[in-house]
Amino acid sequence: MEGELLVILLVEDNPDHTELVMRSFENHRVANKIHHVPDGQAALAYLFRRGDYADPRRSPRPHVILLDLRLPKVDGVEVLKQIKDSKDLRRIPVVILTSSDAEEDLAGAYENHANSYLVKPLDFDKFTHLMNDLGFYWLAWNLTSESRLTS
Amino acid sequence: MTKKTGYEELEHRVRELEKEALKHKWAELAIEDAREYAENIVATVREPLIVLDADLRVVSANRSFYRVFAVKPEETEGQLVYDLGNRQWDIPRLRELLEEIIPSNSTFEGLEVEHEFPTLGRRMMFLNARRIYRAVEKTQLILLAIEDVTDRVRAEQEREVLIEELEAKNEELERFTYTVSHDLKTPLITIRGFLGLLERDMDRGDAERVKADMRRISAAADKMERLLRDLLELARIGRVVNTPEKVSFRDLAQEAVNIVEGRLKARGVKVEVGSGLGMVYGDRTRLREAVENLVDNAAKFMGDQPEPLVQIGFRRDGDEPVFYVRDNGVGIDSQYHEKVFGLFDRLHHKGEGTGVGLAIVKRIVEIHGGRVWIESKGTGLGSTFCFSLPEKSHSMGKETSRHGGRTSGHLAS
Repeated sequence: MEGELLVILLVEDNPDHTELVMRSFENHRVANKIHHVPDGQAALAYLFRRGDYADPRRSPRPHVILLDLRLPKVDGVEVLKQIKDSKDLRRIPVVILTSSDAEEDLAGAYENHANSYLVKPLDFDKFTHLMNDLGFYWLAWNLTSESRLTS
Repeated sequence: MTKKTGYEELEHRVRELEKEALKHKWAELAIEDAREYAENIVATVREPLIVLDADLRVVSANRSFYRVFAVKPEETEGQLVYDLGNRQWDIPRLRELLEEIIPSNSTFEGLEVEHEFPTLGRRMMFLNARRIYRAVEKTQLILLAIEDVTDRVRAEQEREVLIEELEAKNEELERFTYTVSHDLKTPLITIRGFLGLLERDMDRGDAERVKADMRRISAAADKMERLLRDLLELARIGRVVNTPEKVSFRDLAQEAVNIVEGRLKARGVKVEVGSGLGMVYGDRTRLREAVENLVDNAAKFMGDQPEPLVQIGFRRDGDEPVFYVRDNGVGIDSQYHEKVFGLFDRLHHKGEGTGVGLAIVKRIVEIHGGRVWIESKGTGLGSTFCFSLPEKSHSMGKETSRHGGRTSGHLAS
């Protein structure tokens, strides 16, 4: 997997927070492609390749899904459930991005087999460590030397 | 052993008789005492008591009975219990139970009777009954005690309703607090995040980015401010209610439109205030606020509509007066028709809305005893926000419910 592009699906409804995530990844120059969808319904359409996302070139399979919990139309927990219920999709690690470390949110996410939990605003170093833990060791190869020094 | 003489015999007999007579005298006095004791109890007891013979005819009743049911002894004594009043005691269940008492020496307690009594109106009574067996007179009597529990039952029901309301309010408050803390945290995250990026951008000397970052931070701070202001307004609506008055809805609508003029002009929205808008009764300021929020909302969600139009009107659904604010904007899918009135449940997070506007409208309308709902055929087909307002005066607060009546009881033997 070395040198491969990291494909990330970002499911986030807040435009400011979306921008924050995009910029975090941009700043660290990890070879990646972030696909963004603004709500739960679109996330499912992307992942199950329905409607606008039927063309796999428009909806490449992500290596990791960054999922906000509170989403319009279809709730984050529901999206998580459907991902983990699908034989095809369940192996994709799902990282919950949320503003709350409130207990109910946490319990709900883990109960539905979320792989991990990151509290916003996204700390990129924490993200990299998490990706390492999840087995994306090759990510480290793509970091610039300055970032490697700080992590 | 001396044989008693005739005289001694007589004396002995007389003394015996005197002893007997004395015993009888004591017995009679004891009976008198007992009777007086019982009568005093029966007369003093505050509950109506009635005594029936084996044929279920009234032997006597106490003063409370005559007072409560506003009848006289002449009308009562000797009557069959079922013939009393407007046949209020002629109930199958009561008959069953009463007719069992003497043969089985049974009793019953807490038999519920709900009835429209001649002078009292609709009351609920609890009945107790048992047998009194008078050995000497060899008669059987039935003592029937009646308690008017109407007020107590009503108070209990009201208490239950109030407790339910209180619990619902508490739950609402918890949800509210949770939701508020989340929705305030969101712009805070934006601020913190962009402050971090700002530092980086300054180090790099990227002036354009620095400005853009600062704008985002500022907008997020504004958002928090608006949110807090709206939340305060929502909280205030429930508490402070101005004196209700009769007001022309047309005037209200016009005022509301004037207030929202800025946004209407910016989007080029045309507003038509219909005719036949009539009078409404309520808190003038709040009602105007509700219309403001609806018109503002309509203008915000015009989407790509080239000729945005908002119509404020009135119609009658049967005998229900309904006001509406109709737009030809983006419309709302039916599955979200309930959600939109929920606090912070927005369908599109892009807008500047705080998510509180429609919740405010709902609260205002409901406080006036009305209800609010959406009619929209779906995305792209516009929406009509409808609400009903009572024309007559309505006590601006809660209403307690009443339970229906029933007859039941149990037999204890």
